[in-house]
Formats: sequence, C-alpha cells, structure tokens
Amino acid sequence: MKRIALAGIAALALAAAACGGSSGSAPPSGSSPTGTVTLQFWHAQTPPTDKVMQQLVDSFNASHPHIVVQASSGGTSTGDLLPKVTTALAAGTAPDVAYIYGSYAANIAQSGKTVNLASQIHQPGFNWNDFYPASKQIVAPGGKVIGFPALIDNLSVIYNKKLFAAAGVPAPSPNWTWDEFRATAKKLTNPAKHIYGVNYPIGGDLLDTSWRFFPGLWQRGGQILSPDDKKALFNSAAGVANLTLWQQMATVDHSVYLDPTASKAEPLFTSGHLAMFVSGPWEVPTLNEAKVDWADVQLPAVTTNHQTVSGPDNWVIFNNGTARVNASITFLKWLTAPQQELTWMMGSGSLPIRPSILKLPGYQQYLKKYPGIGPMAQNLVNAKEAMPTLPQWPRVVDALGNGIASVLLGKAQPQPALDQAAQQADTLLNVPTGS
Amino acid sequence: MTGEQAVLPVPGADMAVHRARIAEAERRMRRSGWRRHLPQRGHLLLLPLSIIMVLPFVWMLLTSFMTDTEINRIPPTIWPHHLYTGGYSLVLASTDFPYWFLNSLIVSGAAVLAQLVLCSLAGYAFARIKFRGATVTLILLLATALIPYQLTVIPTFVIFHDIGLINTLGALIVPQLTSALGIYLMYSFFQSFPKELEEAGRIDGCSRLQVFWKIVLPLARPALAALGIITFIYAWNDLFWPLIAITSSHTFTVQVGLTTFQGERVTHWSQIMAGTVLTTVPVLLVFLIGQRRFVQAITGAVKG
Repeated sequence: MKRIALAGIAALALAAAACGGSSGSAPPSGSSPTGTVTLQFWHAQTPPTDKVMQQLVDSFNASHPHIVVQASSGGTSTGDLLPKVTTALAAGTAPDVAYIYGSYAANIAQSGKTVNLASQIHQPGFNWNDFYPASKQIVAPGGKVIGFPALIDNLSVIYNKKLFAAAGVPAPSPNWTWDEFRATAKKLTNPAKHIYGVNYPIGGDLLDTSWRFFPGLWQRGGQILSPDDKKALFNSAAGVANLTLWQQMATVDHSVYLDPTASKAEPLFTSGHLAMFVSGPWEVPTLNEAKVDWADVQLPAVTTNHQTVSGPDNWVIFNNGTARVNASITFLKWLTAPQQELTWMMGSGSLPIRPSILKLPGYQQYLKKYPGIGPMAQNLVNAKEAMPTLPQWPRVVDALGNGIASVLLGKAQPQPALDQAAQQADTLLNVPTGS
Repeated sequence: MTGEQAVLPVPGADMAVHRARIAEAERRMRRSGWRRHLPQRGHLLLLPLSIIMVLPFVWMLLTSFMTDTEINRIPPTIWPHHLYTGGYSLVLASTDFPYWFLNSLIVSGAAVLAQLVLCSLAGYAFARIKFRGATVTLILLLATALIPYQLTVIPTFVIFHDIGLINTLGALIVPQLTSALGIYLMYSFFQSFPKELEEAGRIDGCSRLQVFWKIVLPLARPALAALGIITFIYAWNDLFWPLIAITSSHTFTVQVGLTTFQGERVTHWSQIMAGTVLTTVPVLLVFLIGQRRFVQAITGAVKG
C-alpha cells in the first residue's frame, strides 16, 4: 500500500511540476556573494555505503573551494526517493543532484525541471564515450541528457559449485547455449531434496519478470519496441521462441523455481536449494556472507551472442539556476571520474561504470575484495542494448510481466500471451504523455 | 460479603462450628476465584485468534536475534542457534537510532498533548455551546476526514516549505496538533455527559472554563485515554509524511530510520527486526498502560 501511495504522490507531483505548479519563483542563481555555490546532493545511499559517499564528497569539497556539496541520503532509500524528489519539484525545492532509478528517467525528464546536457557531453572532461552504452542510453530519454550515469549492473548466471559437483554436472562453460542451460537445469533439479535448477520471478516487481526476458529476445534478433516507440515488437517469433524455452523448462522439466515475490530465490540459493541463480552483482555481499561456494558465468547464447540486460541508474541534475547547474556538472564530472569511481566501487561493491576503470592498477584490489565479481564486470560488454526509457515504460513492463507469468504458470501459451501483452502495450504507447 | 458474614463472631456458638464456617467460606471464595479464571466457551474462539495476533511479534523478536544468513535460511529457522545481538548493536551504535527514537517521542508526545487539549476543547464547544452554524461547521470538519491524505501532501509541503518548517520536527508536529476524529470522539463523549454535574458547578460559582477543567475533564479520562492512545500510535507509526518532509538523518523518526536498512538491492533483516522490536516497545507500553480506559471509552462509544 505504501508503494502505491508513494507512486500516486509521485504522479501527482510530476503533473504539478510539469504544469509549473511550483512556488513559482525563478530558479535561484545559487551562488553566494563570495562566489561559493552550495549544492544539495541526494544520494539515496543507506548505511554503510552512505559513509563512503560522504568521504568522497568531503574530498571534493576540500579540493573545490568555490563549491560546497551538502550530501544527504535525501531522507530515504532509492526506491522511495522518487516521490520525495517529485514533491520537492512541485514545491520548487528540488535538490541539485539526485539518484534516480533508470526506469523513472523518462518520467522525471517530463517534469521540465531537469537539465539537457546533450550539447555538452562531448566536451573535454565528460569522457562520455568511456561510459557503457546502456548507461548512456538510459540517462538520455528522448535524446535529452538529464545527468550522468550513476550505476550499472547486469544479469549473469550465479551457480552453486557444490550442487553441481553433487549432481555430477560439470561447471558451465562461458560459451554455453540455451539448450545446454535447459539440460543443465533439468539435471540439477532434484524434487526429493527440494533442489531447483534455476529461478524465474513471476511476482512482486514485474520489471524483474520482464527484464530477464529481454536477453533471449535480443539474442534471437528481436526488439522490445519499434524504433518510434509506438508499437510493441516483443511478441515476434524471437520473443515466442524465447518464452517457449522458459515455458518448457517450467511446465515440462519442472526445473524452474517460480518466485512469487522475487525475493525467495536468494534465500533458496544461499540455503543450497537453488543450483543456478540468474541474478547480478548486488548479490555478491550476501553470497559471500552466507559462505556459499559459488561462481558465475555469462548468460547462455542461442549461438555465439551472450547478450545480457542491464538496469542502469542515473545522477539527475535539476535546473536550479546556471551557477548551480554548472557546479553540479563539475561535481559529477569529478565523482564519475575513474579514480573516484574506483574508490566508490571498493566501498560499495558496485560494478565499474566506465570500461577504463578495468585498466586502473587499483582494480585488482577490487577484484580481491569482492571475489566472484570479476566475470560480472567483464559481462558489461554484453550489455549492448538498453531498455526503453518512456513515461509509459513501467506500465508496459507490467503488461509483459503478467503475460510471462501466466505462461510460466501453465495458464497460457506463449504466442497468445505475448500478443495480449503487446496489445496492452500498444494502447499504452499511443496514449499522449504530454512530453 | 458472604465470607465477611461467615467470619463474624457468633455469641454462644461452638468454636469448632465457627472454624468450620470460616473454612467453608474460604473454600467458596477460592472456588469462585478459580471459576473466574476457568476458560469459557468464548475463549475457544479467542485463543486461536490471539495466537494469530501474537505470532508475528514472537517471530519478529526471535528473528531480531538471528544473523541475516540465518534469517534467509530455507527451511526457515525458528529458534536462533546462537543469541546474535549484532542487529541490536549495529542499530544502536552505528546509526542515529537514539536520535530517531527521541524524535519520535517528541513528535508523538507533542501530538498527544496537543490533541488532548485542542480536541477536548473543540469537542466540548460543539457539544455544549450553541452558536450559529455549529452543525454545518461540525459536518465540514468531519468531511475533511474523507479527503485522501495523499491529495494534501503537495500543498502541505509547499506551505511548510514557505514557513521554513520542512526538515524540522515542527513539520511533523504541526499537522498532528488536532484531528477531525479526535474532535468527534470528544464531541460524542461530551454529548452523553450529564449536564446536571455542570449545572451544579455553575451554581457553585464556577466559570464555564472552570467547570470544564475541574468537573468535566476529570470525568472524561476514559475518552482522553482513548484519544491519547490513538494519537500516539498514529503519530509513532506514521511513515508517509515524515518520509516526504524530512531529509537529514538527525531529524528522522524511527519509522523513516528503519527504511534506511533496506537498500536498493540488499535488505539488512537483522537490523530491521532489531529496530522494529525497539520501535514496538513504546507502542505496546502505551497500550498496556491505557488498555482498560481505552476499552472503556470504545465500548462506551459503541453503546452510545
């Protein structure tokens, strides 16, 4: 209920902000008579990573005498920050920089209170080409660059080495195919010992249900939407073949744990009841704390393309006057520079947002500190495409997620389920959004 | 009374008979006492219901002494293998939890005090003072309770920002100074309050305020206790508005603070559970202390 209420507030606030419903005053220039610019920075980090972020901010403030960054979590964690930011937008009190989920990029851009850095990103200091492609796409909904990439992750297959050994199954090869993946999951499934081959979430957050459908779709040459974002294409032959594979695994092989809340697979894996866990780098601290003997491998391919999916998040800059925008750009150029990013990665366990970080000498220490994260970082090159950034996107993924769940539960066939989801998506995509 | 009568000395009676009467009286008292505590038919329904109600609390308490790994184990762990207190240590030592707790106490305490004073005054005025538009005003006041809270958040935020209250405890206290529900609760109570008692006070020379303060309020304790408990629990548990209005950690309430243990990808369950146990204690205490008066007021209100 809380999430629904917060989402409602966010929608209302965005509408109010887009209608110019703020307190109406012109954006403050932001610089004091002494020329010092003070920035409000909402990073949404919770303990213990908030301390790492504060150290970085302190370091920036010490080296930039004319800019004072006042950092705070924003009062809440990432998931709840959006309604706070949008309420502040409506009141005309937005922070200068805030951490916003990539899936909200289009909605937040629609408020009209974000910057557009499209004309500046190729200037020196941005090193824009050094960001991973998926990050660059997510931070630029409709071509409007609303800030800087903040985080990138990806899906890979994390596996329990002990369960593989106990079932006499060799560890997966990086060059494996989806057919091998299916056969492996089937061999590892042991109903007597309540061991599942692999997981698939079918409830909770339907973005989680949908986004793991995309790698198989892209690998087969399919697309999520048409180039003009007006028509759903995920019900193509590629989409049907992709969903059919998972359907067969779930309903014929019974090798898939259908996670009803998208939160049970992790404890199943750490308890030795799930052999392969399709997940990402955010699991590393939990897996190591639980002392699971694990390794990970890139997603299977249809033939040779091991494309994965990524869910990047953004540092969004809000327009609080030229001086504060310029200071925010200076701050984010510094914060996202390789050396600072490496410091952040060491403290948080996040993946590198720039390929150049992998070449830094300190990167090896990061690999030692977070065993198993190396293949996940390498897997970022397989995140070649980004999910769409549209205001309707959260509702499109809900339609698709429900279709996928009904197929995996054996209540529908892939083609009609995807057709129905595509029809719902088309309706949503053709509703004017006011952008 | 039966027992007291039985032990009265009976002139001329035999001492042994007298002792037998005392013994019999004591037996009766013991029996009737026991009978009072024996389960009755209604308890057969209440017992499983109470277990359902208590189980989450017990689970929360047990989980607060487990490590995250133990909490996430499947099949679920019921009893902690070791009494792990790391969750409590982390909550109390590595976060601003003491600040959050104090802030919640200040906000809830201020809300309770304000509502007891303002709602009882307003409820009394509506129940006793005749003025033009009283009924319409009361209906309009009650109608405000029908407006979804979420709709008022943005205008409230804008007003509070303009008067400089955002990110202060004032932003959390001011909206809770009074409530339509509180006024109506007190209004209902005062309507059924015997006017004769007030009239006697007036004849003795008390002003209306003195009557209210010295005669009405002391007798309104059950209703005040109910209002106090409802206000405290609401203010203590409120998450939505503090989440929007507060930004700095030192000004968090406990409920907002607890959300910080849930990161984007990782949830620190042992800390959440330890924090929730510590957060639940004041609510339980307030309810247990005021339980009898709370039930009196509610049942009184139902009976009308």
